Amino acid sequence: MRIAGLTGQGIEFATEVIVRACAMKGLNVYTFRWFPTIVRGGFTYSEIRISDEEVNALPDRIDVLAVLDESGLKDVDSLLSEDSIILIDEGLSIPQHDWRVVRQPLKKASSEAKSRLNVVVVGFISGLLGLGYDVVSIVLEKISKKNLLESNLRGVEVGYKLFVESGLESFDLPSLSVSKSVVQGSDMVALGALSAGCKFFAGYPITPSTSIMEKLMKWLPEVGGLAIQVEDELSAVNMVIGASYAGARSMTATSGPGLSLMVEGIGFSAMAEIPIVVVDVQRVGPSTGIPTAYEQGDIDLATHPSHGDIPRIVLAPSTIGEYYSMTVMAFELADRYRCPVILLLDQVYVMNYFTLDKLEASRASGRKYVSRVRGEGLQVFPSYSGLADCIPSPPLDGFLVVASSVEHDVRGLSMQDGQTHVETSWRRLGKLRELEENPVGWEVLGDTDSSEAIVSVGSCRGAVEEALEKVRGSGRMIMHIPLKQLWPLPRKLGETLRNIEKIYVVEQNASGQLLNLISSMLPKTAELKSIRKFDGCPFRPGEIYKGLVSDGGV
Amino acid sequence: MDVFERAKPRWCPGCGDFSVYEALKNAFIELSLRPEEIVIVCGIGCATFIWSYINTNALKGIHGRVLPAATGVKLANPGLKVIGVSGDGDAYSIGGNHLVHTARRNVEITYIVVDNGVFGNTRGQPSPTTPIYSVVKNYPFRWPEKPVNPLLLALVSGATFVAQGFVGDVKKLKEYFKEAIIHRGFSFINILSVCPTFNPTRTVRELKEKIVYVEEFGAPLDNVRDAVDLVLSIQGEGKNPVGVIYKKLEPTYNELLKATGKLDPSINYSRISEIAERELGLNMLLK
Repeated sequence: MRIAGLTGQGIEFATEVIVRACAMKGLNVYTFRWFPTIVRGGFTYSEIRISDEEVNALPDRIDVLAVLDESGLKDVDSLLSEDSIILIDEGLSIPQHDWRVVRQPLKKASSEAKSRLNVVVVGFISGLLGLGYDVVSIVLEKISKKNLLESNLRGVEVGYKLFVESGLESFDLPSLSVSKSVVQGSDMVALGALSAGCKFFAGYPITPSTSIMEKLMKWLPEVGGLAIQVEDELSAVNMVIGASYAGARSMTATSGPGLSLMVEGIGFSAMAEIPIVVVDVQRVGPSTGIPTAYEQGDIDLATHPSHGDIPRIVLAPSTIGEYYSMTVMAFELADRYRCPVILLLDQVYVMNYFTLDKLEASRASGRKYVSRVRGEGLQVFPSYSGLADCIPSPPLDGFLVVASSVEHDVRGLSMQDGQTHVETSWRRLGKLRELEENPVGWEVLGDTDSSEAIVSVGSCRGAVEEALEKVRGSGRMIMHIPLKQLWPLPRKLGETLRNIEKIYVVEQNASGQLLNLISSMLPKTAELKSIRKFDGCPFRPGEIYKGLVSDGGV
Repeated sequence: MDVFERAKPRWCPGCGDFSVYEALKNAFIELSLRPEEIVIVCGIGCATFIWSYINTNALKGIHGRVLPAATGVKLANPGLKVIGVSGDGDAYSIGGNHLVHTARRNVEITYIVVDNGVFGNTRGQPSPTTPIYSVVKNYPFRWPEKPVNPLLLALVSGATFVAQGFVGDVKKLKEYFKEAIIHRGFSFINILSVCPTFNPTRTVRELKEKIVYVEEFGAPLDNVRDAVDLVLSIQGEGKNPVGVIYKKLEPTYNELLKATGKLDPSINYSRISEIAERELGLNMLLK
């Protein structure tokens, strides 16, 4: 279903109520919100897909569309059918159509009840879906602002009554025995950081990553950590490096424009071998782009984020659960290889609501510190001798700790000669060989002995899997690799695809950044096809299915 | 050789950085600090080579980012004495924004800016403190920009310790360093320095003639307006104020953030699962 209208009409609140009511009934949801940068009066919608099974993608059709403003009828035609129900206020006009239009005095009812239009709509929809007035009331009590609770309850009541009087048949969504938790990707990243022993965060507000900072500001102090907002991303990344040097597992989070600024710090982290985790929640670029919309356009920048040759690890989780586990992994890898780890995330997962049964904690080893050494005569600790797999931080007893952006010897002291640079470059870059051989998060889904394969990235996974179900129905076998370690590229990728005849690469950007990244690993004989989209919205399964069954390029 | 000597300093003959090196090293010694408890954070520029010569912990950072990196160190482990060292390009050009914000946060670090009015490391370009109408390298006209006023910038940004030193008076410079290092808050010292190689018209003798010691005027003051007036009145006569101009005790950034101890690295899973339960109603399973 979709709720559409203008920013300021409370569509986000309405979405949250419906999502939480579904979760209470044990149903799964997948949500996506389109919204503009203007806080009031811009076209916005929320899409909520509800199922008693797991859902990991947007649907191909909309069964219920609630329209709070005439502009809410934008960009939706292709998703509606003659069975679709359009709920609209009796005062709004609607173009020529063959949909089932349900005209209701929504505005009148909301003003009579001294309530808001969005909650009246929620009341009507909860009747239509069969969410139950009692369930919705419990949700409202939980999430309403105190002074609005009464009017919200009244609004839902009159909306519900309108539904009953409409004589429409309810969808009667089932109630499952165990209710679910509602989470956003930002929750999972923040919990992952806590579970990894992250104790310091510095960031600068930027859509769509800000919520990660806000959650850590609240939660980190509870576990003895600290999250702060600073003057810019240059400051954030350098502060995080300083804190990591002083012994704290540290992280920053940003989006494309901020990642551009952090590039200098990512190089510094790699050169000085100070572990940091940089979260990049991708948005539509280039430059300011569409700050609020979804795109996977930072693959190039994230995998090649510095001048010079630097070791770096780039992870792109593909499920909401992996937003937690791969965040934990990011800290472990950063410390293990003493280099920057970039978590490349998707706006759709970070900002929207999803349901989870439970979360299995990932146990992190935490940072291993150099201790129990006793230096004589205040030598500089040989941090980079390859002898210690522990990370020194000051103060060390009898040793000094030096970390430097300048080319250096094993102690961190400046060595500007060519030979040292050759040796240390090999050592730094060689650290990632282990990950090339044994990548993290490696998965091959579906038909492993097929002659066709799909490589997808990030949140494309769900829509690909759903499209594949349909393809399999016609007897066609396709393998699916949701690629999660984007750098260093896993050797297994080339090995697995060695005998594949046709390879589809699924990603959400204009130029095919994933395809370019992996092309050197693909068999020269294989036919390549890029399935991509970059209109700011996530793939729907049907769009990928079309790419798989049509011959031309997309 | 004392405990703070790492290597023999190498700057051009007559460079002001030698004085800064001597004064800082001796300040550490006279304050009985141990090298293990000091972190020198450096940016880019000739003066920042100091970390190679003074034997302490060091974080040699990138151009302009001394203060963010130093703030990170101090927040993660407030027990460390954190000393930032920059030149005028590092501090007022590429890193200018961070000075404003670090000063107003009152992060308890000492920031030493060696101000010689020129980009020496890149061989002589004008810097943010190059006087207007100066003859500068490769410009077919005189330098058209007014210089930054570091003292006023620090004062109005909220620094709680503002001083100006002079490389021709190493003894006093050392005293300013000592006072700055023990100050509880952001201590800022601009040092009038020279670059005989790339800014030969600015000499120690010429600087000395223009110096006015602010202690004669009852400094350090504890009122920003008085301090600004003092700086402006001395500068208005074409002179340079030297000494500790302003000093005031205010809560530090660490204190306000309640980050007064080293950030504890241990992972408390039951606390984390409490947060997951309370905030998200999410059952976090601990194996």
